[in-house]
Amino acid sequence: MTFLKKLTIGSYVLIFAAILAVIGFIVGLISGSSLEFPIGEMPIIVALTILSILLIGGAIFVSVKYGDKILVSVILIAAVVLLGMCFYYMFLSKNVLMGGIWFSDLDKGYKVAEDALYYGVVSMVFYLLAAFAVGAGAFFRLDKKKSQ
Amino acid sequence: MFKKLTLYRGLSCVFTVLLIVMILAGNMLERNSVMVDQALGTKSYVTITKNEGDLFTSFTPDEDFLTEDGKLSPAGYTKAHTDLIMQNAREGFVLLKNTGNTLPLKENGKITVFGRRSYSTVTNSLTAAGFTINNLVAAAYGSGAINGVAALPSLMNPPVARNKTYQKYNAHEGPGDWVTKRVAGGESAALASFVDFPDAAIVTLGRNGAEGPDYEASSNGVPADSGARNPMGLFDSERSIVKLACDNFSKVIVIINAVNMMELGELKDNPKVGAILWIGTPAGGSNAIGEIIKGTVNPSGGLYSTYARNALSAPALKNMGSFYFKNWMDFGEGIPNPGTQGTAWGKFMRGPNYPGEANGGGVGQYGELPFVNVADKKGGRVDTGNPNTNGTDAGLETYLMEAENIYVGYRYYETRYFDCVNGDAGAKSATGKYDSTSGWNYDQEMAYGFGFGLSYTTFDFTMGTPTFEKSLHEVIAKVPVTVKNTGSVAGKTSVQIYGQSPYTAYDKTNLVEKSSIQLLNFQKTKLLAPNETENFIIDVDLQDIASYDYKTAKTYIMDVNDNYYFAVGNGAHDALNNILALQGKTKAANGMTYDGKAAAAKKWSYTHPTSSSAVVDTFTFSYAKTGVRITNQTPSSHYDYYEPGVVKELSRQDWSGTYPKTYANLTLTANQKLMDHYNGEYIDIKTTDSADAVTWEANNGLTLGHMKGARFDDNRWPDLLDQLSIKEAIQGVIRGGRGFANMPTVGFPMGSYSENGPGTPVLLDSNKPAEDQAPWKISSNTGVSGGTMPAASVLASTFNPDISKEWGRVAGNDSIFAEKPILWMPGANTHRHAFNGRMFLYYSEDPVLTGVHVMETAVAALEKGAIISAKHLAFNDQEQHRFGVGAFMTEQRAREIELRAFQIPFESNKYDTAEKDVGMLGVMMGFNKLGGVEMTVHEGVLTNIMRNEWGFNGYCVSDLKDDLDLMRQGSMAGMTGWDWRLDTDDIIPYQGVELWTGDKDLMIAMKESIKRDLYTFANSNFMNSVNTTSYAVWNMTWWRQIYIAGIVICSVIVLASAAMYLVSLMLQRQNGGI
Repeated sequence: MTFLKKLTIGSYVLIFAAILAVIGFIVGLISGSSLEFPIGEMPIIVALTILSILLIGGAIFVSVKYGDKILVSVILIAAVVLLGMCFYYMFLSKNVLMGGIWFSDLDKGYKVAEDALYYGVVSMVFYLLAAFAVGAGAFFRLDKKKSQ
Repeated sequence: MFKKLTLYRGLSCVFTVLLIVMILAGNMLERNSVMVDQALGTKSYVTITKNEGDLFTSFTPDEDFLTEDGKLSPAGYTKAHTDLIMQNAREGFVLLKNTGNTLPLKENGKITVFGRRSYSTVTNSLTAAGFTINNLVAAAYGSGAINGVAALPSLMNPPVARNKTYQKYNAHEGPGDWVTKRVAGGESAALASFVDFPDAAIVTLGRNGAEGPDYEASSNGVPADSGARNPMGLFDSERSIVKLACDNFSKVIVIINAVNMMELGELKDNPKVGAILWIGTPAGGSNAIGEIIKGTVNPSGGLYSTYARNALSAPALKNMGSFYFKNWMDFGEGIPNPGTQGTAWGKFMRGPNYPGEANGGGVGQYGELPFVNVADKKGGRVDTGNPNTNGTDAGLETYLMEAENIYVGYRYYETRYFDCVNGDAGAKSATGKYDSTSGWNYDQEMAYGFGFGLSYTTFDFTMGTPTFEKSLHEVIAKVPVTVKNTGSVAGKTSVQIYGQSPYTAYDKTNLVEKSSIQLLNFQKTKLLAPNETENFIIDVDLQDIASYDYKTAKTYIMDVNDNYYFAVGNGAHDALNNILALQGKTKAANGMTYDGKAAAAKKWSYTHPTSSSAVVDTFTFSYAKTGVRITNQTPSSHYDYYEPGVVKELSRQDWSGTYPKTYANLTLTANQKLMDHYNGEYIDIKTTDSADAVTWEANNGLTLGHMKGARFDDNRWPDLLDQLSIKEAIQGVIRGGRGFANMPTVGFPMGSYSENGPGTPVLLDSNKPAEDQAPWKISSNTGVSGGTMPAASVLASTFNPDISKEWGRVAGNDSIFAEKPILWMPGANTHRHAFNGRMFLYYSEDPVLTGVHVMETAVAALEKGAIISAKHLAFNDQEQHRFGVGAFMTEQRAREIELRAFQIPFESNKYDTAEKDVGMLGVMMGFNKLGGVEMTVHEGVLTNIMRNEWGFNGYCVSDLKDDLDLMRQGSMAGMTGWDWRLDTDDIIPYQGVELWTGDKDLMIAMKESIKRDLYTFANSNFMNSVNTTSYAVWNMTWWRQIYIAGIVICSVIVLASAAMYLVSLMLQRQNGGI
């Protein structure tokens, strides 16, 4: 409870970013759940997502515990990069389907393929929003004590 | 101060995200720059030409496409297309029935029109022809509920679903009471309106076509309460509106708006239906409907394929649809199998496999997953084209036993009829009967036969004595025919030359099958006035009547005897009856459908001085026009190659005993060869050589510009090809679809040089640099309209080669304006039965009718430097499982039916001269297999038949994303390029240099492929914009400016923000802050 009281607006924005990343991850899992169109890059995306969420959590923890120091800024930059890479890999994993649906008729109208693509697009959007949300959180101080 | 720190931190974070997005965008745009250029009208490489003196002189548009000052004339362009389309429709629509002078209708008549397909194509056409339409009924076909009666559901396409389960097809036609209830004022008002519009009732019925799906060929393909016995049969709703028309009008005309051969027997037999007009899919030619109904155009078309009374009666339909090898799990993959699927987590955690992994053959993006559990499978090929696409799964483990043999379409019905008349071989047995009341009976099985068509006048045909021009390996018969208009109005008609080859003891012993009648060539008369005659001498290449003996002679044979026949007639059945008449057969004595006319047929003898046998000539036609010996090249097309004796093909020596059965659930494990083939193991690719095994990067001072118009045997080609780098060669081979690779060492600029046809858009391409502007370019395409050609079957039904020639001319001009030298058109596959969803793309069930039309188009287009690339070679006999289904057949069937349709345009013997070997210079391969071998890897077809026998030296591309895992084998077999649109992750693995340099033969084959592509371009209108001083340079397009600027700006801001953060931090510390 004491910990929660120490959270700032920036902390909440970062928590929101982590939630967006989790949503992106879950939607990404759904997009790769069809038998025909799995996501080959999923192991990387899984690792990057977990790491980025840990980093976000770490940034909040460090700033509450030790203050918003340069380490927190490094962690936030790293989280942004990792979430950006999640977006990047999710995009790469869907480029075959983009070719098959948006740039040819190969998979156009095939619900399984279109679901796999569009869930992937939604996942990408959430990852991108998560990255921007971390960026937004970075505009705020993350330690209440020092900001007062 | 701390506020600044967070500001800089925030800016760093936000612009880091934007930087990642920009890098991704740049990566994607560069990888797909050809497609981006095509979509956005940019040029990421531009061709610079130092000396422009000879540009745009190789091929120029025809005068009727240009204004007086040499610019594209919108009016001229539009007129050329419109005239072509209308002539196609006017001569291609087929009048099937016209009793009691139902047609033509009187001018300015008042007509009531029924059937959803009438609106608005037919009604607009009738209105344009001066008829007045019953608008009260027309309004009933409007949208939304009327009088509480709902509108009709949307029209259905052919209904095979992607998951291999057919949906049921529903015609969704409004029955009679649906129409009358939706008329404003109700049924009484409807009936009153019929009185006000009494001159005729026109009912339009039809079926749709679409790429991907098929119709299900059984009663399961329609709802149980539909009243139809299969999707080609009439639905009760359709019968209902015909009945409404028949009950209320003295003249009833039914228009058939379908390429799939519907069952028209009951309409033929219905005495109240006065006329039936087949229009196929008329597209831009629909106004010809009104012209024919009015009588200003006299119909002259003949049917492109056979209309049986029961569409299921084609023996091919015993083996159509979805057939999996029972043990497919043992040797391949491609089909989702939830029962053996690994855990979801395992599925996510496993990555793709790439070439080089030991996986029992070629592998693709999906590797061993996700389709089957690794433990459950032993082999492993997955096509990199998405396996579950377009109405089918990959079909890699499916097959199709084409046990009907050569007896496709009219070849079956007419041959069986001939044997019925002659009392032979169980032809009259009940086996294979569908609508016959007792034994098989032609009249009871057939509605309208191949080539049949009526006119508003009548014609009389007589045939003179043929003469023969013989050379060592060629015999051309000159067949004289006289046509006389014996009716009272002017008209045209087709002159269809048929032949009959004797069915001999040798044939029976060696399983050589003979159709009792086959089309050999055709022509069209001019518009003949009443009593006017026209004389023809029509060439027949006897190769088209020679038979392929795949078992014994293993080449084409001719019987040395005097029992050959030529005949002319109104379709195949009429011609056959004329032959029967010459053979002394009559309706009364022999049960013919009607008495033929002996004067329309001629008996002739075949002998050849080089024949060493007095029985069978196995020499004359055993050599191709190229001088290459013709022998078996597709042994694995026959299932006997893998498992002898399992499949029995239809033979006319025992109609009853050999009538095809359905070959379902075959097991593959018996034969390792078949398993290997289905696993994609055809040609070994060595890994022991290196790139320096062949010459690369030589400096010979040549460019493609030097090769303008060069012959294929020009001795400069090797020097030019030696200039290539290995990386250029790889890109040159694997890109051959919409995007061609940059090959600067030979002066070939990357770009998109191909387009689907017909309907090629006019690409004015005003974004091109000024120095690259063709003199005929205009700045706006306002008023330029190409229109859309009717379906290929309408063109086939014209039986007029000149229309196809005109199509080639028009398409060639399109190609020049669009700067698209390669046109992926037309479809040259043959119709196997009535249920293929895509048969609108293909001409006919007959290979000569198809081949001659394609040849005329290809040669005429070539005159304008356009490369007609017919598709889909070959045996794309159904849409279901088309991505990999193996079509099994005898080599006789393969060569005499499907391959002949391609052979004729490739050889184009009609246009060959001593100076120039003319022929179609492009082709697109089918997705499917022939036997166990993918068409893209079929060396027997690609190299031994196409290149060596037919003399094909041109461009040969895969269908979209087909067999990318087999690109190296395909290049060895004879492919020149592969079509894929985006440089996606499933393509990248195959671009590695090491994959291509381990085999010297592969590298030689790559050079050969590029030579053929460059030869094609060198003889096309591509050379309009290239000369010896041309070279390609990287170009800063606007999208490059955006992403590069974005990367630079984002990088600067990220770095600056980070720097400012650190500076602020230091200042803060100096000031005693944190």
